[in-house]
Amino acid sequence: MTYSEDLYEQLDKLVAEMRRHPNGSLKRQRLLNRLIYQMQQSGKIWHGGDILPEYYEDALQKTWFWFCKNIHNYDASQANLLTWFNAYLKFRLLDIRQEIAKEKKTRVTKSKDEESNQIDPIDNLPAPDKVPPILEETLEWIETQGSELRDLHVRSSPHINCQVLLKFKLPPDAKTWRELAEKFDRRESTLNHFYNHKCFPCLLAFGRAQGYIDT
Amino acid sequence: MSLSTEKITISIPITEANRNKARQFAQEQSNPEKIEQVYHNTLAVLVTNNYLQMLDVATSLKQSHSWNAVARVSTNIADLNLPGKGQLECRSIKIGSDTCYFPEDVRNNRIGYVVVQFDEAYKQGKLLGFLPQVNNTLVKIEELESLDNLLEALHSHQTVVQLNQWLENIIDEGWRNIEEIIGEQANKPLFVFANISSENSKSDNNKDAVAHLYSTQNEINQVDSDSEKALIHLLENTNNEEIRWKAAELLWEINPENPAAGIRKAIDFGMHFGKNAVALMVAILPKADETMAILIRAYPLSESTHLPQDLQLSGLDATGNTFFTVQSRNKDNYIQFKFTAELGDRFNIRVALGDANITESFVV
Repeated sequence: MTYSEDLYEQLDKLVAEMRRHPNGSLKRQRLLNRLIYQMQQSGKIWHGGDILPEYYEDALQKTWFWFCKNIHNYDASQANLLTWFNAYLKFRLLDIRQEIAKEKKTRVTKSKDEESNQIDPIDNLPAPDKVPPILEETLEWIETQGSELRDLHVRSSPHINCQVLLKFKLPPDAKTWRELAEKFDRRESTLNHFYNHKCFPCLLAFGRAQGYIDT
Repeated sequence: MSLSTEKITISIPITEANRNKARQFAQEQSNPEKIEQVYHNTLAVLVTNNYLQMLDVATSLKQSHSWNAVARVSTNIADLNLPGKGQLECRSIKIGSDTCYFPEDVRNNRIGYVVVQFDEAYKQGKLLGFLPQVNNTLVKIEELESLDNLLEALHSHQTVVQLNQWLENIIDEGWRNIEEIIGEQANKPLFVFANISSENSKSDNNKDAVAHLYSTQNEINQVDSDSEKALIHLLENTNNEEIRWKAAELLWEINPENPAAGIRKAIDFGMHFGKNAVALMVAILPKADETMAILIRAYPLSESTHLPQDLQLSGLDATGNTFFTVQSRNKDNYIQFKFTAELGDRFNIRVALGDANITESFVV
């Protein structure tokens, strides 16, 4: 028996066993996890070739979502599992090529630089030279909400309060817990715990109030 | 077929939309270190999100702290919210690195940690493994547990109410503000004396009640005439748990939004005990020594103002041993018990009448 036959047999067995368990059950998740792993380890997932290499990951992710949702439709008598997977993947890339062709008719093409996939995306980010508005607004809020934030303090230590700790924990001059523990003569865990349970929820609430929740 | 014990890792493609989101969040940051950190954190969350969706695990980016811009600028955070379960922290490493960094700020209130490894071009994130908890800032990759353990942990976390998250205003499904569940009777502290004249204004009543509360103890003197401030002073300074709960209860009436009063929520079980439906209220009041005072109360629901007789309210520890039981008498408006727990403690609350019973699980 060749390696491939053995592999496909193994995959089919996994699929068959998986189908016996309902969606969302632990058994099914473990088997699906194992199935995805074996498919990836096989080296037989199509690598995309010359069709739009910059969109390969988009097509591949779409294919994985489809695969996990539709595995019950797989018919082992029609094709082996990886052929079934790869066919869908190839068609998704062709879809994307078609969409792009449509779009190109209506808008200017991307610059060469943007299309290149050799560059480190982080290098591409501008390094802002001024404080961005969200941090600026947060720092300003910490100042203006002073009395409310000062009301929340470590027991019997009004000087170790939310306003003070937030100032020390936010950029640009963020301190480590060790530095703060020395400064306030308290255990790191005490300060950290107080921060997580009192100060951080204030920050979250401020973020929500400002509408800074991404969807 | 036998499943081998080799460690499973799963590669997740990173789409252009994923990278754009990470770039958008990174650009809000103020210095190169934060820019890189937020870029990595966002991608780690998105990779984990894609992975869990493939496996049919419900996730909510919107409820994740890492999707709150103020949390991102202030904290090195990469949590993913799993509704009804809690926050899963998604840390990342670059290819070639064998150690993962776990900032102190994310070592609390997590149901676990996954580690994602990026390739050079950020086109693929590989889920390397899972840790149920982290005690060090740096963890070697070989110390990670398998992803199977993550899946098991997610199933064992089902339906455990996360009280520690309540303080961050992340409230488990089904738990609501008490007025929404049982209406106005929530705000009638029974210890307030009955002889206050009805001609008095509400604020005078409150003032009298606060003064009365101060007079029942001799540890703390009232320094503030403002009721709300006087109650907060008492809450923060007294060592008497009974007094603290009474102060909290008065504060609930005066200003339920005040965070000094702790948090209280209620749930409608949606089932009957005898002829009555019963609601469970849980209130938590953090203590200065980092433990949590907890108040458990059963209320009648709907028309009735009394609990059915012989209703049992019990607390069980993690091993199933009962540590408290209270039983309703002929005409009780509610029954309750109080205790103190430490962070991470697990307990169950059982409401029972005859054959009807229901149990809720909690972690502090």
